[in-house]
Amino acid sequence: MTAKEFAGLIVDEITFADRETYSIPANVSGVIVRQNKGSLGLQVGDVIDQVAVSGQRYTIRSVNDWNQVVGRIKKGDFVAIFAVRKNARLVFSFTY
Amino acid sequence: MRKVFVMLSVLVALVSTFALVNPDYQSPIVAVVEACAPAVVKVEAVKTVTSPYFDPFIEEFFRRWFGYSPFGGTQRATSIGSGFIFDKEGYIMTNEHVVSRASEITVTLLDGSSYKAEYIGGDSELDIAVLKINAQREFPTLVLGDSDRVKIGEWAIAIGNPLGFQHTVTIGVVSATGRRIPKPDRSGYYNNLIQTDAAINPGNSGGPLLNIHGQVIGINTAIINPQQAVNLGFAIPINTVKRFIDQLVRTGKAQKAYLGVRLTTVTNELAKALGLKVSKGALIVQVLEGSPADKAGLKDNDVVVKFNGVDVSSDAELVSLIHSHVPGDIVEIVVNRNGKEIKFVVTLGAASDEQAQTT
Repeated sequence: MTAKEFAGLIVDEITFADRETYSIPANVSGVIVRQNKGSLGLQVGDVIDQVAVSGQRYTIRSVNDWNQVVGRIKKGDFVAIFAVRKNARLVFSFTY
Repeated sequence: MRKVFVMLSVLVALVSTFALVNPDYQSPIVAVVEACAPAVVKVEAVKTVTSPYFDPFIEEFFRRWFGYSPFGGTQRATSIGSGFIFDKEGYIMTNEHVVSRASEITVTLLDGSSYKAEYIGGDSELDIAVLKINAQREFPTLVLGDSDRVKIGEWAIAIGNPLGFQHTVTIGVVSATGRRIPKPDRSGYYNNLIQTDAAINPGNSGGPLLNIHGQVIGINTAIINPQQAVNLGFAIPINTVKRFIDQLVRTGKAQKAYLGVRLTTVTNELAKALGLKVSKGALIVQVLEGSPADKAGLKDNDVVVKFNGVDVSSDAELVSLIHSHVPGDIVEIVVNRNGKEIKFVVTLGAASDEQAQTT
């Protein structure tokens, strides 16, 4: 399944090679950032595991989850993306 | 003639009797100054400044003909500040920004005696530093007070060297406590400051702010730009300094407390995105396992709104509040969890090197 591009983010499923390359622990699930063409502070290799949209939180475990969530986001929505980078949790918020 | 003389004598006696109002009065400020000024020092720090505009030819030309180069290269600059002796062995407290990167530090006492000072240690985040002077004598010292007991409106006396005018005394009151201002270099915040209207000027930095009993209640550190406001001076509370003095004297470094959380500032966007019930504070993005925060019961998505009674409105503020404590300190943290305010008592820990990335 191809992931929808959102806010300049191109994501993908996490592979075993990704877990090795980016030291992603086995208990961390989500989608991995392959490219960031936007201005958010996310980096290649970050794992997005949650997205919050105007007060509603969604868990992201796969590209399918990602596509469903970003497909719902409308202009003017308040969005927060939670990611894990080297075991550290990060959050980026913006108005879409 | 005798009558005139008697009348003149009576007149002189009357004038001398009524010329002075409160003839026996002595201002308590005078007593504080007399007791404390000998322990206040002038600090001169020589710093080597390297200009990016370096031209060896011009440098050599000016050095040869004028004895110095006004156009860059390496130059020596002297910054003047204040300090105070807190130990009779010659330990001096001042601001780190007065002495940081100094190649030579000279300290001058009220009696005019001058000493080369050794930099013992300091911390730029806390903006405190300890110096040491040596001599075959006991130095006069100041008594450190209790800044937690400072009351708004009580007398505040500053002694320092504004613009190099040595041992200048200014007075005012404690205008407020718990103030927060950004650092001039935007590297963070000064937190929980004592605000005073005692005139503080460049050169006062590092000097003591005293109460009417002659005890140090703060270290004069910052002012609001005089073009924007008049007599808004700020002092680091002495209780913050007291926590770190032993560490600085023993190790030269300040080991700061650790909570064990990752934080981000709550913005309007973040609050709306997450459906938070508050629009101000520091959001706990992650509580690290086994950390002091974890042990105390703090959770991811809690919004810290108060730390030891001080309002928190950003992650940087909370970080500097935590870092103004030492490991083992017990603090009270108020969080907003799903709209409900909950109070936690946390024993702060010590960060190991691996944990240095978190707060």
